[in-house]
Amino acid sequence: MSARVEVRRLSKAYGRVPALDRVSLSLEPGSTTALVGASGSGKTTLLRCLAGLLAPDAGEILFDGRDVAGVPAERRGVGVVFQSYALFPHLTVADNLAFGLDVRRTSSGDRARRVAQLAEELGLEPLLDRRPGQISGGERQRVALGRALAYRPVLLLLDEPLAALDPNLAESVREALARAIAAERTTVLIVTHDRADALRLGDRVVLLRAGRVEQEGAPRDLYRYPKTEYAASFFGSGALWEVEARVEGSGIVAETPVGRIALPGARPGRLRLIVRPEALSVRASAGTSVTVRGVSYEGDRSRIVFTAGGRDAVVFGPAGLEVAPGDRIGITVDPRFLVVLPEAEAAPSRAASRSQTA
Amino acid sequence: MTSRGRRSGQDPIGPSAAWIAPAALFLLVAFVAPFASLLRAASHGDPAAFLRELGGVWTQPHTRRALGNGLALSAAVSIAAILLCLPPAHLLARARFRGRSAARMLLSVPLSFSGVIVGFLAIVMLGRVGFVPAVAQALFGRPLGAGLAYALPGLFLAYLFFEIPRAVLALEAAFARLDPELDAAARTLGAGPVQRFTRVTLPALRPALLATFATTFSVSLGSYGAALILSRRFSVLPVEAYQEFTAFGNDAGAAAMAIWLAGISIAVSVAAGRDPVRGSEGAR
Amino acid sequence: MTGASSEQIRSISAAALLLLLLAVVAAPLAVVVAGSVLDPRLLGLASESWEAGSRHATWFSYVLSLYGRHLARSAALALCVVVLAFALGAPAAYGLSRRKDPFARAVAVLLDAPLAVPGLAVAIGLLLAYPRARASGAALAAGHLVYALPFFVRAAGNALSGGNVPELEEAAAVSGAGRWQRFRRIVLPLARPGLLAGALMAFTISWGEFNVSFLLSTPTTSTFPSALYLTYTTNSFPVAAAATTLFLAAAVPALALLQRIASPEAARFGEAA
Repeated sequence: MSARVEVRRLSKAYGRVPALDRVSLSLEPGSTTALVGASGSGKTTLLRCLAGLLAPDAGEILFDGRDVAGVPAERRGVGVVFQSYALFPHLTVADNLAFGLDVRRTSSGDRARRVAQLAEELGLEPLLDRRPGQISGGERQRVALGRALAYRPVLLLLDEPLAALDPNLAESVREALARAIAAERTTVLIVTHDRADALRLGDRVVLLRAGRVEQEGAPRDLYRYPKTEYAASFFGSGALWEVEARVEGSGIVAETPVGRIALPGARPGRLRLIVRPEALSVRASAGTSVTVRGVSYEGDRSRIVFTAGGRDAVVFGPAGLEVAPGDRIGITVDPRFLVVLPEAEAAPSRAASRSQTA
Repeated sequence: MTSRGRRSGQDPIGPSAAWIAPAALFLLVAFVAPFASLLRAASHGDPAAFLRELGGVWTQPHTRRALGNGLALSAAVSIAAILLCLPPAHLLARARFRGRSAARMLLSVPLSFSGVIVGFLAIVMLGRVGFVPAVAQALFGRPLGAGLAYALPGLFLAYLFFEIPRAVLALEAAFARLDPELDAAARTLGAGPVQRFTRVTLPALRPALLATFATTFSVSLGSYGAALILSRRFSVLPVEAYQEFTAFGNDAGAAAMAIWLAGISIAVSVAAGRDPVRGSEGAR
Repeated sequence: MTGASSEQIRSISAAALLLLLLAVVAAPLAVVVAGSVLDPRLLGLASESWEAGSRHATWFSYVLSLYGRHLARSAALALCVVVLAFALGAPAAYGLSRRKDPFARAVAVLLDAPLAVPGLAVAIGLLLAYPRARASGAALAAGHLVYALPFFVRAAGNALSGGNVPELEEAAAVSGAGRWQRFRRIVLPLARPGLLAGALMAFTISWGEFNVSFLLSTPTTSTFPSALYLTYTTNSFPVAAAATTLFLAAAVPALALLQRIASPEAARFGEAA
């Protein structure tokens, strides 16, 4: 029942403000894709276009190869979990779950069986006779999910499913969500602004920036091999260093603020490096000597900000390490965890002025 | 008493009960005591006499007819006002267009009118030499609608005119409180326009519809200015009560009629307010 | 595509209905205002009974000579009701928006109760309870205030309970502001739009009140809406139209200002009784 969804050069503007700008992506049947981006990047606009709640200005949306432009929302067979949940306040939990089957005139036996099955899957059995006003936020979230799954949608869209929940609750809902998605085997698109949720919940991750696809790929690849500075900073912290790579002997080396390092596979010339904290280690008596600017203890480790080559960078040290601002420490680099950005990206001057230390 | 109330309040920074006391005292003097006087006047201190007086309103043909007239007119006008105002209220709440606040302002003008003014406006438009018949005479050669103001349809239209602002503003507020995502959710779940209206919008609006009905019904039942101006044969209970009180000096009879009117209005308001869905209205 | 077009049909018919309502409200007002300055025959409204001439320069001066006292009394009474609604209602709104004890809940119910009771019932009750309060106009003012107070308190209360007023007041308290200072310097300024809206509602209610006033007023206390009743039953059309226009001249600006400053409160005004 799950559909292959293709989005081709989809554009949508509100007045003169573009929300989506020629976005293309495809969702494999049964896959889970996380659509991630800052607020205002066009995530929810794309979701509403897929659901049929917004008409795009240009471009096509294909479900299993069929253009759905003329298909109204009520006939697309898409399930949506709204950010506000939008549960019907006048209906019980059971009637909310059954709504989509009810309007499809499903037989009452099938309807009751499906509601019972969903209630069991989502742990809603004791709540079936309550109204949305009488249950908790996490419970509402599960009802909204069950309601969207009830009629076996070809595509399930989730708009910020965890944003309204407190962190402890979000953890348990995240697990329930993952279980339900696995059990229902439909094509899923999750919209989120939270990079951790995106990396954890999606088989694939699509990063939107100002209405365009910045990068897409497997979660690990987006973290390890970001193609742009924006993607690199979105998925993890790290300093940006601009270095000059040159041929030396059989390899490529570059002079960095923490000394000369080998960059196998890089091309000579000006390069931009994203230096994630895990690429650096603190050494008592080795590596390049740098000055500590600040230390904060995070229980199992210390977060140390140091200055090297006029730039700030972050390294994690063992919890027992006793350092104070002004101390000198040694830093070594593991080149395997360095990210070399492609040179093609625009505006190096702007990138250079914005080093990432957060 | 006020200092104890203050200590028992859960909010030590907030106001004490003394802030409410003047208004409470006023209501006691200007509303509770007069209401008690009504009951006393109708009963002469004797419960059996009280029931006799109340029963008299029902058994006497002229008061029963006046009460029935008022109930039928108020119910019909309230339902018509709600049906007529639902689509424009939805438009005012949801659509963005120029002149929206001007439209809302114009619609709110009759709120300040008494029934008497509405009656006059009905005569101006639909009287024997009213504006509508004059225009119709000029256009079609026949004075269409002449004298309608003095007949039942005219009274109905006058009361409807009176209730339009109340209905449209109350329903607009109700639509504005309604989560627009509910309609979107129903669409994605497969509900067509009719199903969305009957299964989602209407039930979600139910508390507001009942409250609006209660308000327009109470206002129509208690208003008598239009009937005073327009009707010669069609009497309503407030007019009967007024005459009973001023012309015949029958305090007990007038009080009994006032109690009927108040009792019916209060009962409708309480019934409309005691809606099972209301408790979950805030749920989203 | 069919969905979009049926949606368009629905909003077009809603717009048509809105235009109809606007026309229904605007047309009689336009005819009456025009009738107060134009020759009624131009409006096709001439009739023998309405053809009474006048010694006055305008219909307005004639109305003022007949009912000027009623007009002045109505204005004074409405202002009096506004002042009293403020004096009783502002502290009550403050208390009711913050207190949830049984006393406060009971007062809140009592405050709204008159909205479900017809004006004539309240008027008869007031006369029975206080037979001597009629001549002074005290019963009249009390009757108006009973209906104006719930709207004032609601409008002011919405302004007070919204936002973070309790927290701001706590901040003022730890900064050393006493109870009265907090009310005057923090609470009242924050509630100003709500209080203004409430005052306008109180004014409009009193200005147009007839159900209570008709019974409670005496020839020396009767108000302009009662005078309108007199005009409609005894005077010619241009006189009645001019009197109605004078009524509108105060009511319309008050309602327009109300719409400008506080649309949500104004919408609640629609839930009036």
